[in-house]
Amino acid sequence: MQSSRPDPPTRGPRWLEPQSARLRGIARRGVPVLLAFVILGGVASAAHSADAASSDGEPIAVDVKKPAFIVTSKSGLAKVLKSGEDAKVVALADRYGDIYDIDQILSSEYAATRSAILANPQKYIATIDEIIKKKFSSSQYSCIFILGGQDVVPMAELPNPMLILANEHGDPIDEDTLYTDDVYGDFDGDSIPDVPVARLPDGKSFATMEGQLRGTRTPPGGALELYSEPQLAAKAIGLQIKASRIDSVPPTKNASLDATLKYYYFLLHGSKTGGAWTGKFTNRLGWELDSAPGLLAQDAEAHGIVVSGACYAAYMFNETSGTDIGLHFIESGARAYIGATGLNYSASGRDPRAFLGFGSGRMASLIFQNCEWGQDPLLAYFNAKREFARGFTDGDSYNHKILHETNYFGLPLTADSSPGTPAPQPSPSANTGESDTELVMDVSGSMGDEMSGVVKLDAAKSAADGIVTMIRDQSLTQSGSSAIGLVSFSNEAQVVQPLGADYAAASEAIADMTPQSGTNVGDGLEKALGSLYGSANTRSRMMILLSDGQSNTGMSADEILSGPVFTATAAGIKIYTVGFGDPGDIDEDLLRQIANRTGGVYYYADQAFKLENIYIALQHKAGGAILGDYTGTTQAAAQQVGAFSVDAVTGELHGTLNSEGGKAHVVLKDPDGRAIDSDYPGAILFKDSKPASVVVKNPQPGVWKAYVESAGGSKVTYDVIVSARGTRAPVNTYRTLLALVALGATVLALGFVAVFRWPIRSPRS
Amino acid sequence: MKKRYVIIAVAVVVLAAAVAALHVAGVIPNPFERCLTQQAASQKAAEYMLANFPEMKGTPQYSSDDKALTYWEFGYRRDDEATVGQEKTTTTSIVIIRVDKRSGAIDAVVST
Repeated sequence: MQSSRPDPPTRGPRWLEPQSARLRGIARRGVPVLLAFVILGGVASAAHSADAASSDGEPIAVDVKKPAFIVTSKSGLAKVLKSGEDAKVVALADRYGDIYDIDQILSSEYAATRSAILANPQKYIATIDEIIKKKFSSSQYSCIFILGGQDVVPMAELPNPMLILANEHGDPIDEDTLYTDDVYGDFDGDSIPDVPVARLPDGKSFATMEGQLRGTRTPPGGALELYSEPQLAAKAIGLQIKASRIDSVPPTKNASLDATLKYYYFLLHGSKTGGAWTGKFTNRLGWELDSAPGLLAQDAEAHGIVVSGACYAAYMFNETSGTDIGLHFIESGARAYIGATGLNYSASGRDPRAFLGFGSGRMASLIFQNCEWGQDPLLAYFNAKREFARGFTDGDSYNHKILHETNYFGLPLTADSSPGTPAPQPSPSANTGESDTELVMDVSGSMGDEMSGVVKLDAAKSAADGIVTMIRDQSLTQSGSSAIGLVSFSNEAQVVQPLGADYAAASEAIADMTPQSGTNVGDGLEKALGSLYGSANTRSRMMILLSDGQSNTGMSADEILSGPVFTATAAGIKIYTVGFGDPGDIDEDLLRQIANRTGGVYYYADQAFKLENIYIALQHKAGGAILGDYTGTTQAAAQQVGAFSVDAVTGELHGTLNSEGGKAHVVLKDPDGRAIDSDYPGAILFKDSKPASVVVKNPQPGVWKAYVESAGGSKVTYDVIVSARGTRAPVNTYRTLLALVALGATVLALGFVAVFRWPIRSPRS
Repeated sequence: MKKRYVIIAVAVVVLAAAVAALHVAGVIPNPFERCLTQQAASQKAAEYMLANFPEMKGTPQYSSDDKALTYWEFGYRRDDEATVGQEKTTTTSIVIIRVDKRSGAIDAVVST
């Protein structure tokens, strides 16, 4: 392994300059330079923001019907293929777009420098890049398609961001060069591709190229995942793609694959030499390679979209389909093959959220998500890269490496009859204010018992009906609608009301529930997941599980945690759990674990009113952020119960009042002291609902106050909850930063004048 | 004399503005926020490694000190000779530990 850094590429991305080195240099040069740096750094930072604002990872709509811009070297193809086969490859490729032969362009347009270019690999790469930039037009072409492997059109080389850290502090921990095709698709120099780039490697065989060029199609469905035993969290991807087979290795060692599935995900181990992947660890990190020789390498075929998280999955240099599993997949007609050209990294451990949150797991998750949204696999990969690039900071070494070392192999965009032009999709994290809620309710026999003078199931039904009312009222103020579904469980679970916006039917279904027999929590969660899992993950998705006892039928606690709870966690579905009844009867430990693992919270309620308030608070949480939660008793005509701050970006203010003991109203007052009534701009009131609600659109920023009015002076117990949801037009951070820079520069300029004039005017000088 | 104090005050304000600007620009963390020292973070990383990856003994082969980052980063590497079929090969295992400078929370990635 080399320790020196290679020559920087002609168009090296900005992030490759380590900030720590910059800071040390600044320290040596003293304070005046620091001040100068502040001005320059501020301006540079503003410039960086401006650049990023124009291109930083936003999805790009691409017309898949346009032809591809095909780059190849005909002389390179002639060297790696048998005589005559190179011409056949060019003829087959011609149907996908316009072919640009590097050799011909060098001879005609770079005649004077051709020899020097060919003698210097870095110059050759830079020239290929230059040719692409000169000749590619997005109005004419949909994507760049590189015809041939490393020995025909070399991948661009970037310094490995992992190496920068290693060089400064010790021995290299990763390799010095990062191979990528991203540079060819990057037109604005920010290191993020602006045009999709696909490559068809040659594998030194006509058969390998022909396997793709004669056309591939995405199979309609099915998925599988194979992962290394200790990487349990990788199951999250299999769950995301609804894989019918998710296996750890070695149990499936040397098993043949079903070749006709739509998706394949492999999180197995790969090494630089030898193109096989393996799965078993001897002791977590030392791989027991002898136990799984050539796993998948011999006879595996896959016609769908293959994503591999293996190290060197896409390092196919000097390999053939007989020695490299990736090339074998490509030759056998995989619709797309996506992998890393170097050491690849994914989150360690058993937390699916971490696995999906960063590293190669996040990249795979984004790719499959875009595929599921109907995007052509190349476009899915391209947009996944752009989205991935938005998720980390400049100095984040391994994520930077994963961004660029992940490459696409297969045909260009025009090859598949994809379902129309895929539109850019919203980010899953976008808060639309809409939510999907599944109520999972225990209807075991014990729910027919009384607690504090109320039948527990009646209390649960009242709380559930309250949440339906709240969602129904909220949906009247939103452009979209929030959905609610209901699953009841006793010995087995039943979908009482499918997830949807039929609120009247939901209320009826709740009213019809009756106590039955056993408690099968696992089945209840499974049934609810079945509904929620298919809903759009752009919406807030949650489950509220209510139980008064122990799960005594069906899955064990461990099976619940490793089954539906794991799946929910992987899918980003929070499960809030509520224990309702005698604490001695409730399996609080299990309910806590279910909530904790999915990012939810466990609540305990011993009264119907408390239970209703928990449900209402959860619905507030599902849609936004709670600003205030005030409980108490009053019999005053108007009593202030709390004050809360509203910021300038809040899109909507939602308030609810739940009360018992008498009729009451909630009144909100804006920062000017004006009470919110039906005449207030942007206000909608649901005074007669239970819970009563008020919604204010574009609320005035400042301190608001909440009042409760007791109708008729009776003593009422109240619970007022206020939440903020949605955002107004986003703040222009670029302008804000520019304004800050301008202000800072002015202050600093005045500072300079003061500092440098001081010695001149001093009486001592 | 008074003028000197004014100039010193201005210089202090300028320096404070400089630090604030560097923080706003994302170059340095908030200097008023208590951060885990690199030594303490290194200790946490070592404990994590011992508990989760006992075969990766010894000290990390690199640690980051990038002031702009919100975490300390430690990398461990191990190479193993192995045989796949007839072929001898070297396999590399890398574990990167990130320790959040403020919360001390640990994220770990492993090479695959």
